[in-house]
Amino acid sequence: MTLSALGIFSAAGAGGVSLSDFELISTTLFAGSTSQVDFDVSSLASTYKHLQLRVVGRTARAAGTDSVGLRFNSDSGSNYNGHYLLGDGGSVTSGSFSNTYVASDILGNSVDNSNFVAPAIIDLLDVFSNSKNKTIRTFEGVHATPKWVGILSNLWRNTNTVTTIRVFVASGSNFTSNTRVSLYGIKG
Amino acid sequence: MPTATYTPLATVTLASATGTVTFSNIPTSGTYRDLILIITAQRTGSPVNVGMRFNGDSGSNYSSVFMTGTGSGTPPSGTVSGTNVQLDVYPYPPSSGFNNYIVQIMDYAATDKHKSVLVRVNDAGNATEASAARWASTAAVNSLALTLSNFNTGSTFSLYGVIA
Repeated sequence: MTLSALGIFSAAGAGGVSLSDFELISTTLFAGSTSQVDFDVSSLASTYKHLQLRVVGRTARAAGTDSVGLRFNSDSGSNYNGHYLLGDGGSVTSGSFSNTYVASDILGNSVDNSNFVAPAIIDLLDVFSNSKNKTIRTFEGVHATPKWVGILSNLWRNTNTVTTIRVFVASGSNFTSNTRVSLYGIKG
Repeated sequence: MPTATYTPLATVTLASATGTVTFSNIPTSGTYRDLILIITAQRTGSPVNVGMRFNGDSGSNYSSVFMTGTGSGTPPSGTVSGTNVQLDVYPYPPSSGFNNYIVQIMDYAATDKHKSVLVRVNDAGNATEASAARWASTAAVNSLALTLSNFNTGSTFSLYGVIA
């Protein structure tokens, strides 16, 4: 690539991360009619400290948004809590919730244009610890109909090491075929 | 097999003030899925907001929704539409000190979806802000241009590629 402004490539300096500290583990590209993807992360505990999910997609829901959930170690109990800060283009709201999964939103299929997708970046912090509850940080949003930008913090009230992660449409729809879910590992 | 990523593609450090910084010939062959742009910016001239335009598209194809914490009162949220992605609304690069911006450009090379962008802006002297933007185009992003009245000397722009 070229730059029109004067500049040089600069790798991380002393004390910074190395280029191998953030690694792609796997990517799922949905072919359609699928409502979930499972990641087996049981072998990653000795390599990574944190995980990150990067999601770009939409669902086949006829209107509005679907709730997309994360569930750890197949725990479907009411062991997940969250807080959100949400801007919808008119006001900023904040609230909290308890649920049976880590919640975020994603667009349904009827909004404006089938090329619209919703992005989310989800940081799963210290997920392999066996002494602390797990915290999850999400940054998400989209400008379509509806529109929003949101910052969420979620908690899984469990100190077990995370061994599996399920990403699923919690409200019954499927992901559309231009949806992608990628899992990354971050060393620590 | 895990693959190392978050790959630095280019860094610009301004040796003199300029109004536009352009990254061109961004690879679209599928090596990278996302771009991450980290900006540390200071302005010269009047306070204006930072714009980002893809592939030289000057049409009214950009829109965003934002929320801002200004340090007092009810936090505002609103929408902006125009001929570029407005990376900031309430904050803007200061004339002394620097703001930082972290810009996530998701699935930038995909041709089956509009491009979505997540932005976080940190302006310690003015506001903190988050926004989600869309470029209404299915074209792969092969260049992006950042504009301001003038970015001052010392402003930095780092572009990273993320494999998926």
